[in-house]
Amino acid sequence: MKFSLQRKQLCIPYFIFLILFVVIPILFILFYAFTDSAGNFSLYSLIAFFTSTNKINVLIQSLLFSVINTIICLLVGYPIAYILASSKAKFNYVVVMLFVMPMWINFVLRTGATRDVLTWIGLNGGQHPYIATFIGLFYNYLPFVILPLYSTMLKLDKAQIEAASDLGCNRFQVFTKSIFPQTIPGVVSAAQMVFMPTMSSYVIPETLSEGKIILFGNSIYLGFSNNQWNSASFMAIIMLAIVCISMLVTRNYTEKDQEGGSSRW
Amino acid sequence: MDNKNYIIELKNVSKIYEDGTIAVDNFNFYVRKGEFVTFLGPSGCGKSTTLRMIAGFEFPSKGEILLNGKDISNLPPNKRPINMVFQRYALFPHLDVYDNIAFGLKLKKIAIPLKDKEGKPVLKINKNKVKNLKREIYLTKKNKHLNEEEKETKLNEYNLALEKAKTTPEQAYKYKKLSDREIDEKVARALKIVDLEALEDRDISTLSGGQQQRVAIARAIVNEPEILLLDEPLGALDLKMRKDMQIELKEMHTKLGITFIYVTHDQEEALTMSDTVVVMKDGLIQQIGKPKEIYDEPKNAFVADFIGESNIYNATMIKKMSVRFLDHNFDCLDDFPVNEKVDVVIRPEDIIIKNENEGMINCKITTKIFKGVNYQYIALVGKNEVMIKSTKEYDVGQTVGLDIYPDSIQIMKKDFTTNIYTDAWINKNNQVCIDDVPFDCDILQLVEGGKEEDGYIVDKKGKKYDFNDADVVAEVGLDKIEIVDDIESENSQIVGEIVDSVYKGDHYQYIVRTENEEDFVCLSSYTYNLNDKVGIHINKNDIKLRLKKEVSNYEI
Repeated sequence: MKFSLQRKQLCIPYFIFLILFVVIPILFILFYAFTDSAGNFSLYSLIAFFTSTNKINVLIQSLLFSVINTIICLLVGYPIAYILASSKAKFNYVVVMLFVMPMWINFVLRTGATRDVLTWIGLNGGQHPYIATFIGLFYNYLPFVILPLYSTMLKLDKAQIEAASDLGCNRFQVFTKSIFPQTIPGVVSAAQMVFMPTMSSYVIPETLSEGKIILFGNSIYLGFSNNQWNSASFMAIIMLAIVCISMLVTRNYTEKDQEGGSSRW
Repeated sequence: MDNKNYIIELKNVSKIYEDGTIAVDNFNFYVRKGEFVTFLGPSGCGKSTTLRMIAGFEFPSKGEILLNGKDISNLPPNKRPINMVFQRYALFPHLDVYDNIAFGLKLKKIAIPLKDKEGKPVLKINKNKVKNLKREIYLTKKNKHLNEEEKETKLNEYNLALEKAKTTPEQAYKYKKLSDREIDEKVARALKIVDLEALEDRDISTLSGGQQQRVAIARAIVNEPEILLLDEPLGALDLKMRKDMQIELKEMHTKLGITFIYVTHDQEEALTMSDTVVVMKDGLIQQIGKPKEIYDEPKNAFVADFIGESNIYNATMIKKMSVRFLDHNFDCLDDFPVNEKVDVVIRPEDIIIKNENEGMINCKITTKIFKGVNYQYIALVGKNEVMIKSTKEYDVGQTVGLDIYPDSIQIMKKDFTTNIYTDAWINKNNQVCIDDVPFDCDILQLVEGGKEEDGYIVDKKGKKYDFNDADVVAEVGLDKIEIVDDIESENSQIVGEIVDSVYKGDHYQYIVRTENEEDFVCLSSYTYNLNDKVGIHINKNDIKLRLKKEVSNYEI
């Protein structure tokens, strides 16, 4: 008997998966966001969200946290990635692994350990909630910056760098005019990897600030755990909207990268 | 000075990489102003490294690079009036055509002499010069490849210059950027030269390979460099486009009057375009000359084989101006000592086909290929193959006569007549170690009438010798080294890679290079390709040994 699978049939499992775990949950969220507790259509959650200074403040604070954390991670991660990618030493891979290895440990456990270490060196979350939270966020998201940057930097076109210096760039100009533009796709994807997860992070602020700092993720969680399904769902929609916006904004850069890449070869 | 016309001069330039590989070995060479020079050679011959040293991407380990008589060896690329067209163009994908070309112009600053109110030149101490000299001193101190003496003379020179620069004020300059209008004009002119006028706003990724190539050239020439370097710029184009670009580049060279230094591995490209060709191999210059000289009078078998198609044979000078090969004595124009073994090269188009018995020798045609302009025949003379190009038509299997006139026979000194290993030694088993691999050998040849007794050698008079650890010079004839296909077999004593092959009528001459960079030159009638891994076998009696010290040193 001949048994052959067609492409269509191969798609079925993924299709089921998508429906079950992506489409249906989104529909649920949409349903809860625009209904009241009795299940009737209502814009109550929307109005409640935009009139509550408390919730807007949380949103703004989360955005600020995300922006600052993204910038810090990029500032620190970029040089590390550059050094790792450009030096020929054999231990490079080991160093990359050292940065990446903590990611293999469960995130909640790791954050608990971070809290203990911080308390031990005197940066107790109760007294220094902001510092402790930032350290935690930075520590957790740095690898997500280094990895994409490292991989784009491995692909840096040496000839372009040489061309820049051949055409009159000094070392600093070589960086600003050739190396940095080449790494922009990496920077964008690194920023994406940090910005949104920071916004929705829940365990890190919760554990490290001992509940003193509430980010958007915490507030969604609080909503669900307090049985305010409608308002929490609406906040989740806001979250989704921000994800979509940030993807739209960055889409141009990532597409450009692919074009440039293919034309070079 | 007579070398005023030399725009760039390389003096004893060597490049040795950190792992010890020598990319360029003692390069001496100059380029005249306005010349079109091509570095030609197989990959890995050091041609690109030389170009990169001229551009400033690599610094020579030894020697000097002089630009208009001034040493620029350690100057970074942005301070040299030299621009390069890269192999894969290296255009900036984030900029459009205009910005790519204007890239260098936007960075350029023009020096304007400073004058005070009365119009007298302002004198200041040149801080840049001081900085550069300090850098030179630092680099010289760190250079591992110079010996102490060379270092000292160089350092003294620099220190003197530094003192002078620190104390004598010079004309001061202020620097001005080019205005947008000037940039516009220059870019427009460059675009016109490369025939891309309408494309200035296009994105790089929307251009075809040929157009990208033109942008790359425009980006380099717009800076009005004194020398334009081209690193295999046509390598990525298809054949027809390459031919067109060759002609265009040549025209551009005439039009611009800039010195071009071109790197390629394509011999045809080199011959068509250049005024002077430098043939390189293994970091060494093989021959420098005009294209015609190099084609007609190659200095050695490598050049002959690399440039154009050729018949190369082992030959012997049998008397003055007469050389024997293909079982016939031919008159020739080159004078070599009688009985010397030489290589001869004859270009296929220089052989004249005649009817049977009408030529100097007879041969039988075995293959015939129609090439458009002419026929290419392979014919057999005894066991030797002869390649002939002719417009006359003959059939396969036909016997024809051949004429080879004296002016088409180029005689070259043999590059290898025998393999000599000067750092061989004898181990305790009375084997000779070449490249640290033991080979069985006839150790008795070291002592006249010797005999072996318990690992010692005893001569006629009963004197005993112990040759353990003795340094010897080992010599093996080219034909005595056997290539073994099966590198795992017992016959394969040492394994190496084929790095060079030259066809000589009925056999190939190969160079097998081992991991430790020891070369074995051998002859074989079988075909191997470059980079093939093969084993080598040498028969016990074919290794000739000579002690480095007197025999009496080893007496016990």
